[in-house]
Amino acid sequence: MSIPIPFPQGVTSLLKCTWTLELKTPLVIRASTSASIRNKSRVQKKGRDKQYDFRWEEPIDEKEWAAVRDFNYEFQAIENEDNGRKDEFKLKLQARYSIPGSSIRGALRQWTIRTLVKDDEMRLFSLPKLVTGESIEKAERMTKARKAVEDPENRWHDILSLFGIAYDLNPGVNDPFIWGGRLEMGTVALPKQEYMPEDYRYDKSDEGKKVNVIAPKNIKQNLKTRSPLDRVTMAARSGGLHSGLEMSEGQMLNIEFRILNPKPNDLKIIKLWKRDIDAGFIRFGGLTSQGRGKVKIERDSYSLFAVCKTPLGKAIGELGKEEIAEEFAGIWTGAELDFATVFSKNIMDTLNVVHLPS
Amino acid sequence: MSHNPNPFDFVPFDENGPQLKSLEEWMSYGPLRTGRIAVEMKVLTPVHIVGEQPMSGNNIQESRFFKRGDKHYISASSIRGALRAFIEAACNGWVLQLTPYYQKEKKKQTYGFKVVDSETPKNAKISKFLSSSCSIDQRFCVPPSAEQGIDLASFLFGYIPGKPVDKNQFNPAWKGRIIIDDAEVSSSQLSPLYDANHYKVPDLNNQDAFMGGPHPSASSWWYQFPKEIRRDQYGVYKFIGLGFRGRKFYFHQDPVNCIKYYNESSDWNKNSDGKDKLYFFPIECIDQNESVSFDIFFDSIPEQLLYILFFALEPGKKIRHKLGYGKAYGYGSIEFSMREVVYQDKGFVEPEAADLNAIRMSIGKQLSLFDSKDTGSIAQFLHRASLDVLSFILWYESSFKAIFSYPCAGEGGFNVDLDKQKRKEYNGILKTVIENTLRLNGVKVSNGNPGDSISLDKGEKISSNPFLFRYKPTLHFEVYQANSTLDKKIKAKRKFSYL
Repeated sequence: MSIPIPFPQGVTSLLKCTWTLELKTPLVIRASTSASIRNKSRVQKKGRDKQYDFRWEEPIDEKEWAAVRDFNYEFQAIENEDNGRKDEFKLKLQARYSIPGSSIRGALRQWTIRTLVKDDEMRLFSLPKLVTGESIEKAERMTKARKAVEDPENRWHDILSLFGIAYDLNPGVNDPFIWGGRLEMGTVALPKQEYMPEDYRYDKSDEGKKVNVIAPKNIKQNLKTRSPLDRVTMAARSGGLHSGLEMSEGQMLNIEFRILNPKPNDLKIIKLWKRDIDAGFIRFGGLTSQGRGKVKIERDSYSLFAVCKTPLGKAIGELGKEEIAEEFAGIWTGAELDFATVFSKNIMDTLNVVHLPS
Repeated sequence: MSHNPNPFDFVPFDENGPQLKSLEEWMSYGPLRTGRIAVEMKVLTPVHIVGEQPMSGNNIQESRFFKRGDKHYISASSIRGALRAFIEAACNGWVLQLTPYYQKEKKKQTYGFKVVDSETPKNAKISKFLSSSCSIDQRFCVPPSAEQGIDLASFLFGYIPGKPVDKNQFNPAWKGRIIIDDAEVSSSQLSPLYDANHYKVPDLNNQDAFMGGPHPSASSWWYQFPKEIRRDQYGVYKFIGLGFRGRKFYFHQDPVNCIKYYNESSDWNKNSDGKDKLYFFPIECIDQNESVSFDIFFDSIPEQLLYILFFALEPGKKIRHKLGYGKAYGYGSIEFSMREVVYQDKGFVEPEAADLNAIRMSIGKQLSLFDSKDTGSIAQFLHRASLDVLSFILWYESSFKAIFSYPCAGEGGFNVDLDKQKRKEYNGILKTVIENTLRLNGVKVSNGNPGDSISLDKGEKISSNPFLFRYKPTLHFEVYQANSTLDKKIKAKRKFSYL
């Protein structure tokens, strides 16, 4: 029994997974800022005449403009087409909606823990509640945690080996658990398209400030407004109206993640993810309680690489697939495989063997 | 003179406060279950979820069904809201959503009043509020921390703490354990907006206010219980109410009959200016007898509490839920049926379908011994008195006879829409009738604030006086309902029964 600290003998194999996901329901990744909308027919006190003006900035006049929680975005420096003009920079900033890889990683990690870890061990690696005066048996908790993580039959062993851990409840007394995981989540690629929003129009009076010019436009989005009902009057709860931007369903996104020194249980975990993503159990982003963030894996491909002289390297070579690691010929070998092949007995058996070159 | 019963009624709050337990306690009710429920929703009366509503002046031209992109949906939040509100009431939980306070407003609100003390802004003009007391027992409001426990609905659907007293205080939230998907509706299931038999809803003609728009005033005993009677400086009597009657739910009824009533009733024909009181706008509905499907996912819910979710979906013999717009006119009656329950056990194992009949039989068995205090029964989480009232209000029968309608604004109703001459006569008579009624009941009212306190019984007795009732029928909600055409035997017949 040992702690699954990764790479004791270095990295000898790698599994690259590429998934194309289709959004089956809208996706909500909240930004920390809001944009603003204004109903064109704002004089009316009832009805829902949905003709909105949109400004990509916080509401400037709260009587007229309402906040709408933005979708997560980032800035990119792009070439400034006006750079020939005086006082213009060569590059300019353009905002793009984006999905952080950590959102995907977090959802996968959380679901893996919930599905595999026994109920009575769920809180083994949680931080204790901050209750003043309460004494916590830190050493006892660290011992229990160590026992779980050292036991290869315990699912914490697999999960923490894959995702990594930083847990140090008793600094200076017990050895901490700190290592990086073998799973590396890449960025989430969105299609390079520009969409015109259907639910609102960019406010033209904004021209002077140009906030709408740099507003992100790279996803198809819908505006979701919610108005909880007061339980006593069954009318809209005063102050309860709120809106947010969602990435509309039907769009595709590509995610890529790599697992270093993959193990058989990693593949079992990937199989579990594939099943539970398609079934709707694993969801991404926020508001999942209201059905958001459901996706389907439309396409998945796997590239398996290994040091040539390892059992896995030999097994890959025996598959007779096209070599995809030519640049490292004689040192590494690689093949693009479907999941059934990756999950086949032959590959699984070799993954069980320590990956040292023979 | 008898009248139609009002389309809604209230499930009273328990005077002992809500049923709360710590997270650890809730977690202890059986093994944790994760899985999925495939639900079919049958439309019993047309269902309308509001989408776009183009306007013509102050009137809604038409109300289209909610759409996202090119597809129609019943949004998950609507389904979730209906289920959560039911569980809150059936299990005597918190009142999740409350407008925190009502300020005194010109033409609208004679008295301001507080509802949620902690959410009433400190800079609000407290002197403008009727009382330092709130209209709801504060134990039913979502508190700033879960120290005293949370209610069952919050355990299942999630909990966001109320505003902390101390800004620096951080109180953790609780993530809900239920995911509900939107229910997709195909275009072929929707009724046309314009044909001879299109569904429609009445509204107040050319006015800012909605028909039936709630007005939980503190100057009547409609939404709030009798508290006192005052006489202002002009000698006008004010019937002050404080304390909400309960959680509102709407009765089921046939929308076609109901709309026909509003269309034909002379009470709703013309207003005091001689103009049409109402107009009717078309609504796009899922047609009666259509069905839509959606999934509910549950994650790590103790088995006994999961059975409460099953029960909320299929709450027994005659209870059916209501959803969407136009509930007061009979729209939105629905029936949920579980088509499949799948459990996902821990580990690398395949999901397994549960035996639905066994689940239903188990719930039936548990509820057959409702008062046995069996710790293995879901009855321990249910509030019997609330269930009886829910059963009374949400009782569904395929052939509706009764029509439930709002009291009209004019004579025989709220008596607020009277022409000048009639108003003068009415006010004169009303004052005399009030004084006689108060004298008969031995109630003395002095000028100024505050007035003399009135017990609940006395308030009901005063409101039931036939002369006063004739001139002020909508003074007291329960008295109005009791004097309606609602058959008195109905209440007894509609007691809760699962089987």
